[in-house]
Amino acid sequence: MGFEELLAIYEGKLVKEEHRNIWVSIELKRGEITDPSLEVLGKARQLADMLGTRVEALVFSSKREVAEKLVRYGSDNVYIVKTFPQGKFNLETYAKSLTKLAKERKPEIFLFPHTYTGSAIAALVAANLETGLVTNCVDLSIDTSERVLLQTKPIYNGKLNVVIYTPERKPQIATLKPGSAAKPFEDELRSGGISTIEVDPGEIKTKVIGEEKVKIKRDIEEAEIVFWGGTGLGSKENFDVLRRLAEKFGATVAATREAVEMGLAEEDITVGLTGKRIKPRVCLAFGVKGSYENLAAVKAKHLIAVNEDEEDPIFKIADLGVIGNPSKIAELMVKKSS
Amino acid sequence: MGIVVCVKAVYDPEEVRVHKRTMTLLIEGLHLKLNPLDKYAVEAALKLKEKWKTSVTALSIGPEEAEDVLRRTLAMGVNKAYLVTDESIKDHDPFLTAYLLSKAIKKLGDFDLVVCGEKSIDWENRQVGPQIAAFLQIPLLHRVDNIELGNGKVRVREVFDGEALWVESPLPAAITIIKGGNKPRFPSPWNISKAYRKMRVEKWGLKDLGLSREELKAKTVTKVRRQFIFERKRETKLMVEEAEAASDKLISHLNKLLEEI
Amino acid sequence: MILVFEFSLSKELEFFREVVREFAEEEIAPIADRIDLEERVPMNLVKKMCEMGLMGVPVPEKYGGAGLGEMGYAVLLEELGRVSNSIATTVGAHTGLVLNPLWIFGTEEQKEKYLVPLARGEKIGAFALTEPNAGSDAASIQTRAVKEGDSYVLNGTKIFTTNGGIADVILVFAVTDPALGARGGVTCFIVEKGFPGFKVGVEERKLGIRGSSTAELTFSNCMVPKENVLGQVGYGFIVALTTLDGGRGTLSAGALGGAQSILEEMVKFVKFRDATGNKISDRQMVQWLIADTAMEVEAARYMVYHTVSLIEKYYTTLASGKRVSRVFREKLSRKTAIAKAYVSEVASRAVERGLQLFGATGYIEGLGIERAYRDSIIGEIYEGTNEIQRWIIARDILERGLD
Repeated sequence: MGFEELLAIYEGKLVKEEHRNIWVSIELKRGEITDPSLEVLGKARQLADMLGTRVEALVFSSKREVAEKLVRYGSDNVYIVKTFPQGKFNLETYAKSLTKLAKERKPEIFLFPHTYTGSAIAALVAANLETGLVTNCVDLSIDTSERVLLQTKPIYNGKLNVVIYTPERKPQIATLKPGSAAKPFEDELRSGGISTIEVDPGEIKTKVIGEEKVKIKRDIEEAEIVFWGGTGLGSKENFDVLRRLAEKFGATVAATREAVEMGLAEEDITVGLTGKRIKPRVCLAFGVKGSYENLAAVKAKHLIAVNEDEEDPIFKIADLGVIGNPSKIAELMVKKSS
Repeated sequence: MGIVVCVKAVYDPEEVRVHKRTMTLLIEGLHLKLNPLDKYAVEAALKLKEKWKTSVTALSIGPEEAEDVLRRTLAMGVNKAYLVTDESIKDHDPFLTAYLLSKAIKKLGDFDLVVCGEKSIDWENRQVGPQIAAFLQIPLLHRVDNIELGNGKVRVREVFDGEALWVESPLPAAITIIKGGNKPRFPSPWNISKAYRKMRVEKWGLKDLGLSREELKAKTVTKVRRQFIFERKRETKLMVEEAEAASDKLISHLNKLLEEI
Repeated sequence: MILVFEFSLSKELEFFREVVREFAEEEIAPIADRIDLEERVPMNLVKKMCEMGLMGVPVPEKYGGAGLGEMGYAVLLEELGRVSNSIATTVGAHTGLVLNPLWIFGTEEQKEKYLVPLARGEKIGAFALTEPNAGSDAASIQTRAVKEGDSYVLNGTKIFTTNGGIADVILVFAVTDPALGARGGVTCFIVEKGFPGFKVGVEERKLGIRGSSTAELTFSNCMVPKENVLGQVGYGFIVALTTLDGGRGTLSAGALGGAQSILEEMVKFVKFRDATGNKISDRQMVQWLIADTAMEVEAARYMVYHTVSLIEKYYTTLASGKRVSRVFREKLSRKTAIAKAYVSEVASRAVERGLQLFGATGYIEGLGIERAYRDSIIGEIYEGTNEIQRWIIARDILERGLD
């Protein structure tokens, strides 16, 4: 910095950046802070230390324990946001409240977990504030020379990564893909401020008029999560265990041709070249050996295999392989996830 | 009563290759396709059209070649199709995309619903639908698989992680569509030839939207700094554990994966 | 630089291909084995194909078709052949052998009455020429048609009629004047399923294309009104030759689809074996199986679409009432014979290589390879055996000379 500039600052002619602090939008599930939110908090902490600024968490919950926990996880300041109408989650209320707060308090960076709701709220806030947003980031870092947030996101199924930044506008908004940052440690000695702010979101046009549990889709071809049983399960009873397990994870059940022929499952859930072809996000295969007939019909983003024989071809293709008795493990999983 | 359905022409990530030295996409010779979720959006709009005797307009933004993708919407049964295309729109900026689409929607005139796919398979931003709602200052109904219209209101089912909310909103509103009840129809060969021979895709440049290059620049809020390849070899992580420990690890691993969207 | 020989399908047809492929993969591929096993095409699939409009692709819109021409029809057959030759054959016999002659030779009344519902898929058509004593040698047919008042009375038996068991409308070739023989003595009749005296006999069980119906048809004093003569009395052979000259050319697109699918399966299989640890892709033996198939499929594709573009020209000219020169017809006949024989053999060779590559995995039922093996052979037999095609080709070359 040259002398002239220093002088200008000294004389108050140059206003220093008015946007400061890193905001984190915290999501709760059944009252608990979600892991993706904590991962964002951990990432925000790292960025704040590089920028020499503070981390502020925003949470729509009146519980003080939640706010205290957020402090222990790295937040310098926690805003408990009270908005009305109170009660059920409403995307519009949340987005309008956060927009209003960000307009007033001007964070430099605003981070969200990349979840179904997080990405939508971030998009609405960014549009309302007329600023840049990068969603589904796998990495966030700071270019200290320009003081900008570098946001890395995979595109085309991860074939290419792009680093994007918002050069002029503030706040710089990003959503962080779950699992791409470590969950921070809880520091019992950490202290920070907790305050409650009330926001009037203005007119809310949408109204939640009902809630329901979504039934698990039986349409295998469209399913996002498939639990796939093979002959390794051994019996019809064990296949029912797999069904119960699937119920717990909201997964759709499928069977290999061999398992169907053994009488473990019905014909219409066959997945294989001679049955249905699937493209789920997650496929968990229990007792599937992985013949060509089986695997050529499956295009899963994440394939997990549980099988006894280490030599089974499925282990060559799976992302995660567990060597063990599939029915035993399935049964234990049912017990543990209830 | 009018429905605007916004669609995107995309390159299939499975077909796209990356040039390892220049870190650029190799798309030469590939065909642009209608983004898969947008097919569901078109289907949802067409179902409403059939039930409520309304008209459906498809709208897209992209290169000239995206015209063929709009033809597909025409062949599916959309009444009119518009493509916003201009040489000066080069950068990838979803904010700008949403802004231009909202401008185009305003130019189209009165509408009751804007329907979009929740995300595109190329960049997976999940951003344009919500931001169109914001720019038009209309409510957003997000991740919808079921739409009912009546009494000047729309009721939808929004699906988040196994739980669904029924949400009611006044019209006009914007809706993002997920897979579910709206399995896209196959266009019939009759409609295909009609779409190619008798219908046209209207093209709008920046001028038609009343925008200058300066304004375009002003609405471009992000910049790409660089692109790189992160080679992730698909290698199996093998776990040999007691059933107890294995089941614990599987549960936590599954939960982790389920958090990804 | 001008690339004189560059040709590609129109965007409209590329898009049509994309749609048919999606339809075939979603609606037909999963049940292709069942179609083979149960030896019939499920009615709800036929209904879906009708609703989608796949039963009248080449016919102009005013007659209930899609107006996509022979090129569109070839695209359809290639994509159907890629997943199930049974379906390709069923649609091929209906479209190429019934819709096309009705469109070219039918009167406006006949088109209204028969072509429109057939093109819309509300009715299914069949083409009955072959008889126990008249196969590739179609000149010796014995089914008789005798005029009685305003009707013709048909007597005789047709065999190996594709779609015979499911057809509502059948084009039947019968002798109206035995003295004239092939030249002027044969007439084509439009017969409805419900005409008295018409009966479907035994349905054949076959080596391949089991899902398509192949039936014996009997005519005993079957009364056909004289308005149902297609073309003119004595024009039967012209109708048959015009239909078959074109039909065998477009049908080769179905065989092309079969070869294409085997090539795709081979590549998938090699990649799978590579991924599961047994790297076979660097073996020259494997590479050659793929390269040879790719070479032939490529040649076949150009041949098919080039030939079909000529057929399209041929048919549209005829349908508009104009004449086609003798030279063009002879040329076309040779070209379609070449395409039919060559492409069907490409498909058979592809499947043989595929079977060698897959080994036992392909030999067992279920993966589609053994089905493709059985299904491909018909290509060398129907619409004139490849021996007949070679005879046509050689005769034309020796008489007319090389082009």
